Amino acid sequence: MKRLVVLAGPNGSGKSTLFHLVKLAPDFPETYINPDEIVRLEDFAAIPVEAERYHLAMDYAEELRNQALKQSEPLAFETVLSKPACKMQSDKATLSSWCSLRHVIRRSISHA
Amino acid sequence: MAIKVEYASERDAQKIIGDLCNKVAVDRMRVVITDETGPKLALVPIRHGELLEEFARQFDLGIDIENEASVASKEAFTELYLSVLQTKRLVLIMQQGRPCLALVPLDGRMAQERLFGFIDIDDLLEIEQHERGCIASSEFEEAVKRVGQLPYDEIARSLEESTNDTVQRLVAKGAPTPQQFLRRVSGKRER
Repeated sequence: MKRLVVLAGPNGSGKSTLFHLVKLAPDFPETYINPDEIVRLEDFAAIPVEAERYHLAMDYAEELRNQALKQSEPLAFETVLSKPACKMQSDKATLSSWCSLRHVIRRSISHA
Repeated sequence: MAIKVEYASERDAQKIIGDLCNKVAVDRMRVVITDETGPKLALVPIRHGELLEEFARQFDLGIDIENEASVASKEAFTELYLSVLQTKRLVLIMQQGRPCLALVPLDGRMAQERLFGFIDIDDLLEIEQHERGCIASSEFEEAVKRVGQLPYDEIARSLEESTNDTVQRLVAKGAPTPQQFLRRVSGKRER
């Protein structure tokens, strides 16, 4: 079955920890995409400017996500839902018959 | 009471800082001030100074102790806020002799996540689930109870492992390697 797990929540809310805790559950996707981890890969870590490093890691993460979706690879990814595209991706996947499971970690974010 | 998180841009922070301080201290709300490169400063309601002392020790941050007068006005707070950012010192605000609020300079998200790993978060996670089968909610619920209780290094290792596996798997199926991706992007820029 095609599965998409989206762990959504603000920074520091526990998305990665939650992933670590449930990744061995039966049927949990093996493919896991998190720009904060990608930025630590050797090639990205070598980019001297921090902001550029993060932007490129996010772009690469998006490319990997699209690749996984295109190939119907069960996929888990994290998002702070900062871009509408992240939300769209999840909705689009749901509509196109993916089994989508979103876990939104909320901590009553309010913008002052 | 659940602790809340509030995000503000650095620019906004100075305007709203008086309100924020009240919220942090009175409503137990956590505040993270970010700029485009990531989190810069966390305001953390704190009852146990030793947790932050441990955090400061691990991140090699000095600690300053201030009394509540230093956050009593927007002007006083702004001064303190700028000094925390410049000196990279953690400031513990005391109220009636007890820790009440901490200003913690952050350097990237990892520091933030690690900081929050030190803080008691038993009551702060609220999970909203939208599901269509796949994985039992109970597994997530059980997992959520353990968030904040695991050694950070164990999680970091596990995430790194999963990320390496993922990249290798997707590259084998046709995705660019990080190197190919970066070369392509830099080629586009040069053109």
